Amino acid sequence: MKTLLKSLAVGTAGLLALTGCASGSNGSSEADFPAQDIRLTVPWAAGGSGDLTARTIAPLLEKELGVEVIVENKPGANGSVAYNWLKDQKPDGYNLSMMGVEVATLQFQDYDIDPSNYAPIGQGLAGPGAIAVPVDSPYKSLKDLVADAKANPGKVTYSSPGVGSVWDSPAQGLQELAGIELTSVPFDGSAPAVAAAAAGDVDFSIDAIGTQKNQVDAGKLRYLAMLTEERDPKNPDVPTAKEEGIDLQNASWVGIMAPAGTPEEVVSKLSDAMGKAVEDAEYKKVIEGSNLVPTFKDAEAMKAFLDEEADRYGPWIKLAQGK
Amino acid sequence: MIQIAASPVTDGIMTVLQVDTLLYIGLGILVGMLVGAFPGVTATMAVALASGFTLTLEPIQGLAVLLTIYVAAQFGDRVPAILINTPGTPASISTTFDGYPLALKGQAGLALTTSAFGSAFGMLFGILILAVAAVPLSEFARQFGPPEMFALVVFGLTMMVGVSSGRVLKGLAAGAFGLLLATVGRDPITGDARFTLNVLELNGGVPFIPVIIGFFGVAEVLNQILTRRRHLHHVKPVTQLGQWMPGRKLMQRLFKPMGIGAVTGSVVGLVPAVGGDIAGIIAWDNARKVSKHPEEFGKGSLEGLTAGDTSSTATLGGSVTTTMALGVPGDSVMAVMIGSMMIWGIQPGPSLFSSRPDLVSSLVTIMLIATILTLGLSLLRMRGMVKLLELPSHYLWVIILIFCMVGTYSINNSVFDVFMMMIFGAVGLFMLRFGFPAGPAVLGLILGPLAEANLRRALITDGWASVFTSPIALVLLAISVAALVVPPLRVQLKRRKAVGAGADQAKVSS
Repeated sequence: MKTLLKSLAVGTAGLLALTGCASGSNGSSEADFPAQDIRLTVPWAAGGSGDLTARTIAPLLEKELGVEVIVENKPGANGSVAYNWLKDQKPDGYNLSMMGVEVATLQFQDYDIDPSNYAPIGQGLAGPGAIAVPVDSPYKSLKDLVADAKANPGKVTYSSPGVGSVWDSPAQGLQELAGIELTSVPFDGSAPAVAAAAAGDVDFSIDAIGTQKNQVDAGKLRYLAMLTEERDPKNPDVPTAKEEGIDLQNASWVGIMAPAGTPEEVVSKLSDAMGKAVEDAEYKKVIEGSNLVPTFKDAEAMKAFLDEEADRYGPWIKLAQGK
Repeated sequence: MIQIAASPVTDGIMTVLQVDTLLYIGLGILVGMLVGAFPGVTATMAVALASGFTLTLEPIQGLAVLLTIYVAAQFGDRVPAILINTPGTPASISTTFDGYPLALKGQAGLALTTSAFGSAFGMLFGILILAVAAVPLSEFARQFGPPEMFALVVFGLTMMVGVSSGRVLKGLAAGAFGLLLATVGRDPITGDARFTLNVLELNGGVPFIPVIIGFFGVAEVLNQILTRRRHLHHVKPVTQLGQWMPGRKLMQRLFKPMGIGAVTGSVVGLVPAVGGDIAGIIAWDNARKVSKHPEEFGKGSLEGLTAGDTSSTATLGGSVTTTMALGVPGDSVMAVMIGSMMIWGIQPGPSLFSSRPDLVSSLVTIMLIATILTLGLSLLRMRGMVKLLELPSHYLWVIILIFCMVGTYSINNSVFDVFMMMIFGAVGLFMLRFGFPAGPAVLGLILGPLAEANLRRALITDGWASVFTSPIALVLLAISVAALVVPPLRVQLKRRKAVGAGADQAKVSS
């Protein structure tokens, strides 16, 4: 009898707790957001720069929002495992995911990822790109490289972090703009791709300035041109590709997004909090320490940017696949 | 100049000598000795499981845990080998030849301590190889572009014969199965989906840590459950431990087998994909040939015990060197560790030591500390280990299975990975029951994508010419052909003899 009473009591308490939770999340209007912990999913494995961004920004978001922000890695299949998972979550702002350019580009590679399923919150950083050659390369400028590629179509090789990746695509853009034909040698990620160029296995590397920096500092690589609008303040002697007659810019980036249908009020609250976090000195220190640039775009700018990226990359990826 | 040369070394040492890193080393020692002492739980599996939990640590801390588990397991696995004639991990197969007879003679304590001393000596010798050879070997390895890497991986694939435990045809069949699994996922060059069966997760390929846990952990437990009846007459642990410390005269007699073991183990360790199990057996046989008392071998020879144990631990230094400098796994434990390291942003391979010169001294420091502490702990607490072996095996099975699942899930927070682990557990059980070794399959799964991607990269740049104009690639391909065409008959013969002697020994003792 005693045990029966006991289990009844425990059961009732449990039920009460459950209904309490339920009413808590149902009843909360968008005005009270956030009323519970937020889950921030990372679509990449622990350890990369995207993961680092999430782990750096989470405590700063906690400070702004007053609730816990729990970081959880869900890597797999170029990030599409996490993106697919997020699409199916309730659009209430409590489930978020980090995002990269793949949200815009996976759709061109037979993945079932549609950017319109997501509500971007904001951008957190950028990794502007550069073209770098081995130190003993005969190319003294981007013009030399282009001229050689024109004279020997298909003979000039470059290393990329993989087909359709954020750095293979602008290489397609380079070929299109300069009217040249290059040969892509895809590697499994940026680190081995840049290392291959440093070892002289390929003629040049196209990747983020910060990723190439270690090999440039080690005296193995030399920057040829920056894929930025303005010259890089840290490398004022290196011209931009635009100065060399090729109007090409590209940067990798990391942002945060929610499922589509998340109330605007919630999105803007999250976006404001993210904006403040990106301005934080602690955040800047970590991001700049990994040779990346803290950059913020708000939800609205990010939505437009995502569409632009899809428009920009789509033809490039088609071009690469056509080869 | 000296200042510049010395700074990465001291940097590397200092990164390890942090309180938290030392705590992780302590944790690794505990885990390693425990898993070593549990028969059936291999160092490979322990490292695979632990890697699921260490991914979020700093690289050096994570390496401290994984390497220390690897080191400590080499000490722990001797205990059941000596006390109940069951190797804790395959590396202590040769320990059973002489260790158990010694225990039956009432000299278990002496066997445990000399084994620990031999293991520590082998470890230190291997670490010396790592400290001396890693940088020169990696300088050489820097000349490895896609064609050379392809040839090297082909050479690694020929090791399938070596890890087939004598069953060459079944080994090659298992290897082919591994290579087939390796083709699943996105094409490394064009990005097209291959054999993904519309399963989203398979776009990333067959995840190899769940496969390894399935093959080694789940399959082994399932097999033990099925063959349980055979083990009903469990040999009672020896409780009489006898004398502990070896005398000075005895130690002098053991120097020769220790030396033989250290050299044999180091050479075997440098060869990719061959581990302590084979090294121990080869050294045991070598020591017997030069011993003044060869008749004692297999009947309780301390010389045989130390030779085998020194050798199987000496492989560690060589394995780590090969793995770090060439990016080709030195043995199955390192194959698992490569996965973790890549996630930490440490890309084992030719450029590792030039981009991270501090890493060699960090690795050496971690392994040194782990060896010394483990030796101390072994000498102090061998007695306590005996108790753990008395745990009934059905509790053990449940514990191992739960750890397999939790460990696998925690790699990617993915239920898919757990399913893969269970599927490959069933596949592994099939392979185990029908005599297909799992080693070659894992080798194929891990090396297959490397072989394919590097060959195709080489072909893109200059066609087959890029492979056949590279002297390094040609030499490596020639060695690979030799390894296949001239089967290592002598090694086979030696192993058969050694195994035969071990079996005779088991017959005599039962």
